[in-house]
Amino acid sequence: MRRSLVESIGLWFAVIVVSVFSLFPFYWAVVSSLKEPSSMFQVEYWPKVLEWSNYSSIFKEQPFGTNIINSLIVASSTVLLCLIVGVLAAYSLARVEFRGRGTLLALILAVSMFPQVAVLSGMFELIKSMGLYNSWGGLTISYMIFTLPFTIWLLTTFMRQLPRELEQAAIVDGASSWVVLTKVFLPLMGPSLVTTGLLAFIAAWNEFLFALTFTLTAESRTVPVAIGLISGASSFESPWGRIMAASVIVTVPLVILVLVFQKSIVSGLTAGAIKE
Amino acid sequence: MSEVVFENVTKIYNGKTVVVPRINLRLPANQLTVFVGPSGCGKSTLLKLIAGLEDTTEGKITIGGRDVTFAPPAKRGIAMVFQSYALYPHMTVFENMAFALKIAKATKQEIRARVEDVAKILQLTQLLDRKPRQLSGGQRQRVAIGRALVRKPEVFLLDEPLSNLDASLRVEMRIEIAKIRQNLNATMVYVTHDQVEAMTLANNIVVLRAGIVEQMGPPLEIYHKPVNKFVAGFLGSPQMNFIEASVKSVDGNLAHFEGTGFLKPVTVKIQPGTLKAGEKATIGIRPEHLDVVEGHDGDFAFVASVQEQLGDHSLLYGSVGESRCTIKTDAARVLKVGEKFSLRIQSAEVHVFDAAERNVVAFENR
Repeated sequence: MRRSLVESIGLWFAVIVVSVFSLFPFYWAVVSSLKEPSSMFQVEYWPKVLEWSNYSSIFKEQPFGTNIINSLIVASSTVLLCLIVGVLAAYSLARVEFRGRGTLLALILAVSMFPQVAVLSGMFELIKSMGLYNSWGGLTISYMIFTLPFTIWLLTTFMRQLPRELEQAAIVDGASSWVVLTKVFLPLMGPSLVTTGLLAFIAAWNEFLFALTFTLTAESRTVPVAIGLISGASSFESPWGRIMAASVIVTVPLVILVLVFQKSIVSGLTAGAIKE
Repeated sequence: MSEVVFENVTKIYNGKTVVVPRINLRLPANQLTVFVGPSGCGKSTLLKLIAGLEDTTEGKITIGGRDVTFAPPAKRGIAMVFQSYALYPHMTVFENMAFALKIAKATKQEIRARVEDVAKILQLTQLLDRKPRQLSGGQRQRVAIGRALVRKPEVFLLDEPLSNLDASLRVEMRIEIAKIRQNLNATMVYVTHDQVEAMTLANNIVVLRAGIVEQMGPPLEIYHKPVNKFVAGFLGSPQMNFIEASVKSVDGNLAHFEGTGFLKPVTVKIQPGTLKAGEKATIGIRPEHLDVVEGHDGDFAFVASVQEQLGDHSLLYGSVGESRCTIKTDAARVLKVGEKFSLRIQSAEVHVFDAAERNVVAFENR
């Protein structure tokens, strides 16, 4: 179908509006991170002098490298744990008939409906009593609260779309439930595992409230907290340049991850939409 | 030598939906038995009960004398071919066929030898390294059969294996399955709703309706001696004609029938004592057993509405009295629509169904 000139102009205008709206904040962060503190509040759409000192100083004035490693470990172990539990739960929720299956699924979703702050104090007591305060383990376990529900839901939906006859064929071939899951289902679930894993990774990577509450020392903080607590040399200096530099740094791994898994994500999101 | 026996088997879903009410059935060893019936008649359920993919609610299933009612599928000595083939998409043809043997912990050499043997029989040797998505429908079907054969099953179950293929491939695979049946020393159970497959492949046909066995026997026996109207109508294409009639008189075992569209009374030998004068009955005649004659010399007055030319023969659709009627005739005969003809019964093969739809015709003199 050919578009008329007016339609084309309208379409591209809309594209530009949406792009600017969604990309400008990130662009502004990049630009701000390259400015000197003195020129921070002058409106410049491209800085005249590229100032890289913001990037080096965040690593000097605080253990930002350690913070990044903390974040990587916490987010990765969240993803790993989440996928293991999620796959097992999804298999039983999608394939095993038992009483109260629908109720259980609804409950799992309900868990994620509470605002984080509502469970914060209770969670704090739990983490402390388990001796996980100020550690990677405490964060990983508490992140399950919001990553597991959607992981289980997405994987259950995907697992339901796998043909029942495939499972029956494997059972006739002598496969146990474990073999059906690991040798037949898991290899077919790659794209959906990547998609859900990535969503869980992003959620864990960007989490702030739990990370702030359940850590104490600068060395055990994750990046969102570390960035939030960046302060200026004096109380009169606002550290916007460094905050922006740190933000840009921590966004890069996410962008790389998404680019690497791009193909799988697309096929994961549309998997099962059409018959092969 | 593994016959499959159902003893008082009942299958109830969710404690309320009765799919199979108390069935007793003996599927002879080393023969191919076909379950046919309309959808929802329980034929696939029976197959899954043999396979162990569905639990038996009540009763007992034995394979070769072994009680397998509670045995897991893999321990029953069965193999199954599924309607959708259900090949493992991420495995090669070889891996698909080797999967069961690997789980059974067969040695590498043994697996290779058995898979290659079966591949040779099914002409899959060239395809062993391909993935299912690189195969055509017919090839996938052969892999599914191969995967079952590799296990050397005592009982070979096939669930509508040809329904996903197009017409010409279906004929080809049907012949292939017939060949496998001849060479395979196993009991085969085949589910289909296609009566041509049933007629051509089966040693025995089991006609099912609502979980009840209507009739069981060799294909030609069921075709020529259906016990009731349902079986008579289910096998044969085009379907048998059913003409409403009433009993004019009975002398001994000869019954005379009349009705709208009858040009003269039709006399049929029936089982004595089954019909009385004045009762309603249905005359059943297959389309190929009626002949078109000019004028009013025949047995029924026929009004034709549509003619289908099929090359070697033609089909005439119309009615006798209130009843729909189809006639198979030779192609040369072109008829004008709406024209009146008469039909003559040109064979002794006439069936009579009583009010309860039982076939009451006397078969023994055929």
